[in-house]
Amino acid sequence: MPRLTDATDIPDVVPALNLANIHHGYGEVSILRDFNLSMAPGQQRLLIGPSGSGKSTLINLICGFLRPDRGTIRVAGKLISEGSEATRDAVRKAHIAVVFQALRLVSAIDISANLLLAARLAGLRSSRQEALGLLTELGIADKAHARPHQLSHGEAQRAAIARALIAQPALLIADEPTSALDQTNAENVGAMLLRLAEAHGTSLLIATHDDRLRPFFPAVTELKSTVEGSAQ
Amino acid sequence: MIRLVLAYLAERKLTTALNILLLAISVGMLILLLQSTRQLEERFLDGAENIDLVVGAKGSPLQLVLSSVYHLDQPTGNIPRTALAELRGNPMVSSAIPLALGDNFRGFRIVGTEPALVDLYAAELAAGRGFAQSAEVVIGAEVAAATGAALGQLFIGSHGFAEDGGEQGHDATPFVVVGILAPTGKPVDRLILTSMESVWDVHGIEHSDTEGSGSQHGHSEAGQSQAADDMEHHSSDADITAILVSYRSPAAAVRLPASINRDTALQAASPARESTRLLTLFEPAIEALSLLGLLLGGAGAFAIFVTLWNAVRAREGDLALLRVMGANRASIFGTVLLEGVIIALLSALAGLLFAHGLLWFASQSYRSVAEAGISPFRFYPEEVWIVAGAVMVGMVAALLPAWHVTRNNLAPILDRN
Ligand SMILES: Nc1ncnc2c1ncn2[C@@H]1O[C@H](COP(=O)(O)OP(=O)(O)O)[C@@H](O)[C@H]1O
Ligand SMILES: [Mg+2]
Repeated sequence: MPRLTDATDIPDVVPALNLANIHHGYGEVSILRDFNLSMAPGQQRLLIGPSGSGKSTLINLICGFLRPDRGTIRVAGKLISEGSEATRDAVRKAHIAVVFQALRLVSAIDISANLLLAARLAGLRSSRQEALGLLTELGIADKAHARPHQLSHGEAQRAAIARALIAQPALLIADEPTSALDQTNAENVGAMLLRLAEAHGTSLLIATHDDRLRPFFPAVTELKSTVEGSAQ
Repeated sequence: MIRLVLAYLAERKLTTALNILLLAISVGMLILLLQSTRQLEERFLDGAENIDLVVGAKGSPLQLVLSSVYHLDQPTGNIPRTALAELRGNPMVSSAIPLALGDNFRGFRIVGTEPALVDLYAAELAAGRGFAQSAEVVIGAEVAAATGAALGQLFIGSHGFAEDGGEQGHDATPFVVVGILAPTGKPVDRLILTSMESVWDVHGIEHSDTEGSGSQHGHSEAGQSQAADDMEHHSSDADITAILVSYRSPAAAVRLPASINRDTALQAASPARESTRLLTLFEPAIEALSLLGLLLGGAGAFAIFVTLWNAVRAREGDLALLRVMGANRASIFGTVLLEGVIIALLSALAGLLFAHGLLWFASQSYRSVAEAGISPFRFYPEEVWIVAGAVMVGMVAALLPAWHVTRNNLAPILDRN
């Protein structure tokens, strides 16, 4: 069941995502300074900021691929900013799914195989029917046996979203989902992501520089461009 | 994950096929070499187990051994019957068995001899009894299988050692099959055994009827047919072709052949020595071919390496994605390794099939291959090692690409849009 209440209001609910006092930089260049963010289960949030402001860096931190210089990150209550690679891998595997700007469907296999692979990697035994159900929900059931290159960009994006959802993540992250789209399509994708996240009870974090998405989201976090950085 | 690996392989069918081809040729070649050397070795060493010495007409010792022990070449000529009695009188000799060659039935040699020859090859009767009367024959297992001859079957032999037009059979005296030998894997499998007298009878009758017809016999090898023709012309004198000798003691090996070669008009040749000499003749060629096989294997490994190296670089995005979706480094490493192993495994299987298929084809198409006793369905434990070696090669070739992708820092890859 999706819960739309803010985690900060009810302290005993485990947040889907919690970043506390994050500091991170590359070498001398500081990207994030004392950054804080908390998302209740099922909450949807827009992470907005200009290019180079550190959105992708933040996603890499949340996924456990980067470790913050300071601060802690928890996903569904599990610490992912520290510990061995194996434990960080396990948290990511169990709770996070990402939709990339480049979609990254595996071109060697068809769409339904892409979905099943994702489910398998998330440790789920999803059936073909479940995959087909998701594709139907996204209106691309007829593409189940198509190869990624046979899909239009819009269809491929839906397939990538379906692939993220089949992993039943606590936290769904989308990186720049609308950058290649015109106004109407951008709004459609924003609305679709919101609707699906709600239907599947997953928290949704969209990282974007696209102001067109702003009206759809009640919760928005702004990332300022890194002032300390050299000319950006 | 296996499905994904197979999909990757299928996605670049041509490259995969090329990789497999290269390694398969190497595997096939090594197996072919192993098979042919092993089978020849076995054939030659087993075939001559109980025969210490062959005594026959002067000529090439190898030819004498090949013709009278392995029944592959033409005989060197004939020797007088008195030689048999002389050898039997020699205290160094425990047994001496005469052979009279010259005819064949559908390419299987008819050998005039004594029943003791069967023991020399450690063969046993599968059916019927030994030959006793003139014109009675015992046939080897392969003869029975190939001709379908059963006990009581009548047939007429033809001149020479190769199957020819079939018009030149002896007019009279059909042979009758009274015994069939169990398979031994030795030359006797391909022989038709009868008494010396049977052979002499056949030729005695034939020579009185069609004197001077020797030139029509149509032997394929003109040069070598001379000996066989000679024998036919002289067979009315009841000559013998060769004598197979077993020693009473090993000490005879030193003195008997030397004294025969020095003191008589006969030739003595040791099957063991001649077959070893024959096999050593092949050694440099076998070594060169083995080296070529190994080089091809190396080239195959390098091709797999290059293919996988390029593949993982083109696939960095996919692999990073797999990590994001929950795969750990070990399983990413495993997928690349698995890809190399699958290529190698397919290559090994293809090579195995190729080698045995070629042996099968050769034994079907070339009589000489079948006569040399090469069977396509024999397997040696070394083949498992060759297959395992090929799989190792695939694994080693995949090691570096696999390691390369796992040590990749994923964050910058995820950034790349
Ligand atoms: N691996 C890295 N090494 C050094 N600097 C980096 C690296 N990744 C990103 N940066 C820098 O960090 C800043 C933030 O980048 P990024 O997180 O990709 O921002 P966004 O996704 O918001 O465009 C940029 O100035 C970028 O040049
Ligand atoms: Mg970015």
